[in-house]
Amino acid sequence: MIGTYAKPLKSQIPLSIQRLQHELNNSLVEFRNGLMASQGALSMNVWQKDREWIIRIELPGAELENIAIDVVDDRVRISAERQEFDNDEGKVLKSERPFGRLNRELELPFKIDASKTEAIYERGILELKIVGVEEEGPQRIEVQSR
Amino acid sequence: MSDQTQITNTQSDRCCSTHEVPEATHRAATRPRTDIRETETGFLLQVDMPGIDESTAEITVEKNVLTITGTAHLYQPEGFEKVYKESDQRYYERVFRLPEDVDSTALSASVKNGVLTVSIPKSKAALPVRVPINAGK
Repeated sequence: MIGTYAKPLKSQIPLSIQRLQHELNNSLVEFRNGLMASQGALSMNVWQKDREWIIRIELPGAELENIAIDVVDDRVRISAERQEFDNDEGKVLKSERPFGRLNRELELPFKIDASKTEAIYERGILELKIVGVEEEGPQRIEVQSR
Repeated sequence: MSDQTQITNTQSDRCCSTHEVPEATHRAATRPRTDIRETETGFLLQVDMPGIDESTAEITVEKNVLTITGTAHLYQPEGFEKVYKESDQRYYERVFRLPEDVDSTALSASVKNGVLTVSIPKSKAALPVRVPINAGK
């Protein structure tokens, strides 16, 4: 038989190794979070159905008036501004959350119909529903004789 | 996955946790980004947890350990095909070790636009006291 070996039970792994793994995991997550924050990246999911796209972006702590969505041809640009802290008082002990201007630009494979595009902001998540412009089929040009 | 972040008065004080490793959970946990501020009267935490509201977030205090958890229930659009994914279901978890001079029974919290704000007041004994000075005789 090939490949049959007992998988070590969690209880058999020494606590020190478990702790090390835990620490490593955390530092990786920390690194990724830090990297994303420094780049101002917003986490995004995209779904598609024919000419309809749904784009969901995590945008915690933004105010409606500070969210802007601009559509040009086949590009959509989402920008938001977030204030650092509600009040300035106090001493900062930890500052991990990104603030300031956050941007994300997407290029879609079709021209966007801005009039049919909807955007909803709820619980710190922005959801965009984008509909593409109906493209006209090929048109035949009649040749005229002279 | 969780961590132990110590809320301390000194920023340089890197915490070396001696707590036991929590039981591994099968769902991948997101460690939410957090800002912590200390004011004269207490500590203020702001935690980015997009997708949660007051019914899906939970805060518990056990001894001097503050645990914040939350699950963002994100629906999958019906009839749509997923073409790009960066984050799917979110299960947030983060553990903080509270300093000794806080009143852990008087915590208050609110959530708005996916940001959880937790206010932890300092205990009365830790607040600065102004001592009245009498004129000498």
